[in-house]
Amino acid sequence: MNAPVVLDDVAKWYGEVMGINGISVQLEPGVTGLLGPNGAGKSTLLKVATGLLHPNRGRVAIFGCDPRRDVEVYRRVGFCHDGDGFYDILSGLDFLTYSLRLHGFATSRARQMAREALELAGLTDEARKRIGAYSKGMKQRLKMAHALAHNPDVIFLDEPLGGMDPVGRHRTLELVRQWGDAGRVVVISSHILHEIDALTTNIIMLSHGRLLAEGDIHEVRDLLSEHPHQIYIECPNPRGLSSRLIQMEQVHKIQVERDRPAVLIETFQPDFLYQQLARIVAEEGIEIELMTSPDDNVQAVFDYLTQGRTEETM
Amino acid sequence: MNAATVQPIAVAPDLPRRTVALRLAQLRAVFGLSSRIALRGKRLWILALLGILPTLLPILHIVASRLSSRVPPFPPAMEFFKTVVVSTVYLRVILYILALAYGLAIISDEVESKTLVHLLLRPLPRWVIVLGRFLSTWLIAGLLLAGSLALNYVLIWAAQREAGAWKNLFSYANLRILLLDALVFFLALAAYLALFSCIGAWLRHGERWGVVFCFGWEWLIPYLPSKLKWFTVMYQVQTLFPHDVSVAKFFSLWGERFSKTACIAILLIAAAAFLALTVINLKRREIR
Repeated sequence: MNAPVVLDDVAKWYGEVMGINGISVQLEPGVTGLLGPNGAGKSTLLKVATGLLHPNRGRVAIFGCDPRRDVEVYRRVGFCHDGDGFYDILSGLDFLTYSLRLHGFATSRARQMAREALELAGLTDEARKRIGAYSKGMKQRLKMAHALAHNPDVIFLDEPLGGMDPVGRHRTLELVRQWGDAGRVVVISSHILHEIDALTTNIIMLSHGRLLAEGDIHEVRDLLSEHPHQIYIECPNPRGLSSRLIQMEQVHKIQVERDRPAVLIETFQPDFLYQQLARIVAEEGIEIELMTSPDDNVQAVFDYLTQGRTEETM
Repeated sequence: MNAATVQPIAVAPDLPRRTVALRLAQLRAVFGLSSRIALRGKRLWILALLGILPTLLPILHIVASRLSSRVPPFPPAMEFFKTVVVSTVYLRVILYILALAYGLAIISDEVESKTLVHLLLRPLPRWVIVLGRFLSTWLIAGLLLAGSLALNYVLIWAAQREAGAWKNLFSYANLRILLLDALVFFLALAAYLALFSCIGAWLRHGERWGVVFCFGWEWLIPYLPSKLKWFTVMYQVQTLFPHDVSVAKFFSLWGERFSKTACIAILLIAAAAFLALTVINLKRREIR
């Protein structure tokens, strides 16, 4: 067990409610995606890994140290957690400067490092603004800056993209990719499959506090080959679109929504269908106002996998 | 596995090498952060107003005596200062309110504002967090109390009608009493703040327990003829004043008093013990 981060048979209970149970993973340098629907235990796992929670069973080691016992390990660990508490009266720059001074850095050095971190997070213009006046997305970026300001080797990110605007999301994903390429251990949690898909092939899937799957994302995708992918489309003429799409054999099921001008499509070949949709729109002038893959689809994926596992064991 | 990734936790090259210097730098940072937050918080202004309240009496007297010559003279300054201001208002009310408001908040403020996580995720020994926040709170609460006490002292002398009475404001004997009283309050604050930080960290609804302790245990037990009074902060504090205060007169009935040195030692040891209990709480604390 020489990996930088080791969780060995870790369990965490909140009274009689199970947070996570029997989790054993080794986190190597590079980006690891932590996937699971809401309530799967992702945040609990990250908090146990970073020492904010004490496991009821099992062992956590970061560079061989237990973070609950040896606080020096935080010199090499950064955590962008799910909390929203800040010292609202401080500016972003002052907050990060104090955080770095808590490491022992002299004020001038801490200020310089804080400026660099804010620049990395795209908050240079808001550096002297009170945190209380920050938007949700800006606070999220500040948390990122806080996690990386001291240049850690291990970075845990708990749903870092939540509340971010598209530019912030792009910037964050780019940063995560760079850290992973630089050989740092980066763990990023999300309940949205495609966010992780774009970042890494190495994933950990949790469901109901248990390890559901671990390894290459393509292997998990194979498990999903029999599970239909959902596409939700809003357009002025949903009946016209559905009559056009129903002719395509790649469409497994199509349903016109009753309460709004929209259709919900199920397909086993999403990539092919997306191409076809683009062609239809371009060639036949069909107007589409919104196209998305419903978020609860991820929940369905996990339900499907969990069900599959249950059936296998029966 | 890349062997380079598993290496001992090293202090960055531009950080102080010696542990003592590093811990002092961290302590300064916690102290600075806590002070800055406290100095810009609403609590400071509310308690500053509370500290000004006792000054209303001499101020009203000054105004009334300017308006009418039938207003009776203000009581002799030092007697009023010792018996009313110090023994009653500050010792029995303001000291408790200040200690409760600031002491309970030493850890629980960080918990309630969900900012404790920012401290716990840094390479800070838990005792540095507790000590840094305690020292900052002690200094601010102490200065608030001492400033308010000094203001009262000045206004009481200003309310004296006798010609030239105000010159006694600067007499060595009176200033010595003011200074020693302020020091005793400062010491009492240390014990109370440490105790309430412990209560705030360990107990849910710490404010209720704090009120019960102040206005139950500390108010009643010193008057009872039992050795339980040794376990009150008030008993030690009363002994330290350079003049008799109201409760101390009761002590003399039972004839039990520790030496001043023993009282100082007991207060400091109690403060250290309660801070240690707060550190233990912080070590065990989880952030959900």
